Amino acid sequence: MFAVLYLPQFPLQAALRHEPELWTGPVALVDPARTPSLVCGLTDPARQRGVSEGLTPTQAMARCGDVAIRHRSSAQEAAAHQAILQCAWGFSPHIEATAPGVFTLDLRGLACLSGNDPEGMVSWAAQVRAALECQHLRARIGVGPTPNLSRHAARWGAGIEIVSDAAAFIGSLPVAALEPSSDVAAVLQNWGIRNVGELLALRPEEVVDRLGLEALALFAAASIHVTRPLNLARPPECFDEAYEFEDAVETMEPLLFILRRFVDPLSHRLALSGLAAERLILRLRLDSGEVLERRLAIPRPTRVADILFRVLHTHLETLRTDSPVKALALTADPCRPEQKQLGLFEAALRDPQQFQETLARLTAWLGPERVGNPVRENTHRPDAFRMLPPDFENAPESSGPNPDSLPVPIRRFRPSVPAEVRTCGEDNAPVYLKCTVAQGKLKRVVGPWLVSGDWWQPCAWEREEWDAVAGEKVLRLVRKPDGWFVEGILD
Amino acid sequence: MVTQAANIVQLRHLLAGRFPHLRQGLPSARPVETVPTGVGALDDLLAGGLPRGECTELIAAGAGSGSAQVIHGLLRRVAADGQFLGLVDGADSFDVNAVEPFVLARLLWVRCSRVDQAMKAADLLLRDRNFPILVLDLKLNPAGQLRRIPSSTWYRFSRLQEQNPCTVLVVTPFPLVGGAACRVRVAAGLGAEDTGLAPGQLPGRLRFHLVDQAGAEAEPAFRAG
Repeated sequence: MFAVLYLPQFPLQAALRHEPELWTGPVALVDPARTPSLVCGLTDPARQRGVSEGLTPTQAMARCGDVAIRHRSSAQEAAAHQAILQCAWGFSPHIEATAPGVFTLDLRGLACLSGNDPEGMVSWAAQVRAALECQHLRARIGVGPTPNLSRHAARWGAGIEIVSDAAAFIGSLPVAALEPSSDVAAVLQNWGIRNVGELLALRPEEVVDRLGLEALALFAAASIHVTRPLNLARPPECFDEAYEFEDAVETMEPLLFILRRFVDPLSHRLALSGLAAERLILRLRLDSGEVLERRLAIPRPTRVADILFRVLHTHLETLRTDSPVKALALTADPCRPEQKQLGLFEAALRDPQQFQETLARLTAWLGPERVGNPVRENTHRPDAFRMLPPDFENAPESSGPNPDSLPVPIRRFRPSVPAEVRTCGEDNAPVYLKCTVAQGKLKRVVGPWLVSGDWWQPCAWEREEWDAVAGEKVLRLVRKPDGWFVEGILD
Repeated sequence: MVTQAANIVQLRHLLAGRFPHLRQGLPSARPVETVPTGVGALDDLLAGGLPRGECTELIAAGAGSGSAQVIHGLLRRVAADGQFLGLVDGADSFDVNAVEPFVLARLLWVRCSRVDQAMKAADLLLRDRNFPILVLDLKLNPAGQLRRIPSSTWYRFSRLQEQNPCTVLVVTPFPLVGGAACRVRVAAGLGAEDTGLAPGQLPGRLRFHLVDQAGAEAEPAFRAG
């Protein structure tokens, strides 16, 4: 058995995927690749108001003043094509992209459809339609014994058409279902042939003598026995969505609206593929032509739509552009979701996804160098560390240097406070300090401790450290090649 | 008169149940769970440690008070217990060098430069509900910025703690936190000679004084009858 997914007016559906509310109003789709641009698709309300294919946009607006003009977009059609393949993959591993908006599925071997139970097939087809509706796409589905019959069923059926009696079904179809040329269609009409059944009642060789080789194609299209191998397609592991605004937008709200329309279908497609998103790539094309690209890492891969949307929302809150935004595209980099079993006695995060969201918000607001888990660098230079995303679940057990071998904790000033220091004596000990932290004669100084490192590298450093008492404060004074600094205070 | 007295007692019990962290002059109905700080003197003073799920203010006035030693001690104790801790550093003053790597691995460090950043970060972490312990270090922030913190902020924090029992330690240079379950003043008078001590010896130099504690038996504000 085969199933065909037929999406009527596929270019228009692709263009309105992220604006499904426009289907209830008059919309005309214009192909900008043609000169002049002509209407190539329209919604039912537009058709009822007198707009038709082949009109120019101006003519369409003259017939229907409030018709919304949308431009055909190859990027949006490609995204819709990807989405349909990925949805179909969740229902059958054998898929063919037969034509734009037409997909053929081989149902052989599907356990849920064993026994050719019509009710089971209707239920299965309803699930496929529901999955496509999550992607804001409407499809008609035909199920039959051959790809040809299934395609006819999808095109000429109501919504879900199951072909149980192939001969009766093909015989009831109009001749137009076989797509004859206008000349042949006129001849058949003159002969009084109204449906395929009447055509098949004629002797094929006599029809070929009168109509030529095209008649052979008509009989082949009407065949209920011939099946063909599918040219199988594998859905790409890329999850893209794109949208171009009719008018450039200057505020965040329209961007968020469209991004939410992106995130929900992407999340659904990831779920059907059994994948999660480890990174989001947001591309904004500005009115000036500049393209801004931002790669947003997701610390814990997920496909939950709310979390993905909040990552985007947090980033957009801090984004400023010089020009309005004309188009945007979103790509989700897929990966296998994490599978980890925690130990029974390990302290774990109560809600890891909530924590990642909090971390993303703090990082977006303060910067990645301001939030995270400090890790000391492999150097003796004091206060050398880098910030990494926290990973509490893989934190090492208690080990490491004896705590008594570590220095006494101080409160550090970042950046170090420049100071004017007067010295005296053979060891040039500081005796007077002037800086924003303290000023005056130093009551007592302890030191110096000479520290240096990385001398074999361009970033070689050297320091002379003193502990000095200024008033009631015990300060860490440091002399470097570029002067004196107060690095911290004992507290 | 007897009816009025009974109504007053009933009202006091109702208030105590609704706002347990406020002082009502009533004895605590249940024993308070504590979170050990790793600083012996402080744990002894607080009968075990910081009250779990409550806000404790550590007033560290002046220089050399020892508040950084308390934070490091708490961090080591939390790591030894296998937990993790969030530190909102109001002036980016945490000393990474003085902590073992395995302890750092259990720390989320939020480096702020202003009080408003620190308060917002603390608000986010309290709403996160993942951290059992949160330290808000405002010791080095300017007094002018600290005084501009609306008092409603602390009230909002206590409401968040009601929903999520996170133990909060706020380190301040002067009394600041409205509605803190416990206020402790720390003083040590650390001097230059203390820089040569081992870190484990320093907590013994710290002196703590309990300023205020909710639920402590005290003379009731008024008597019934």
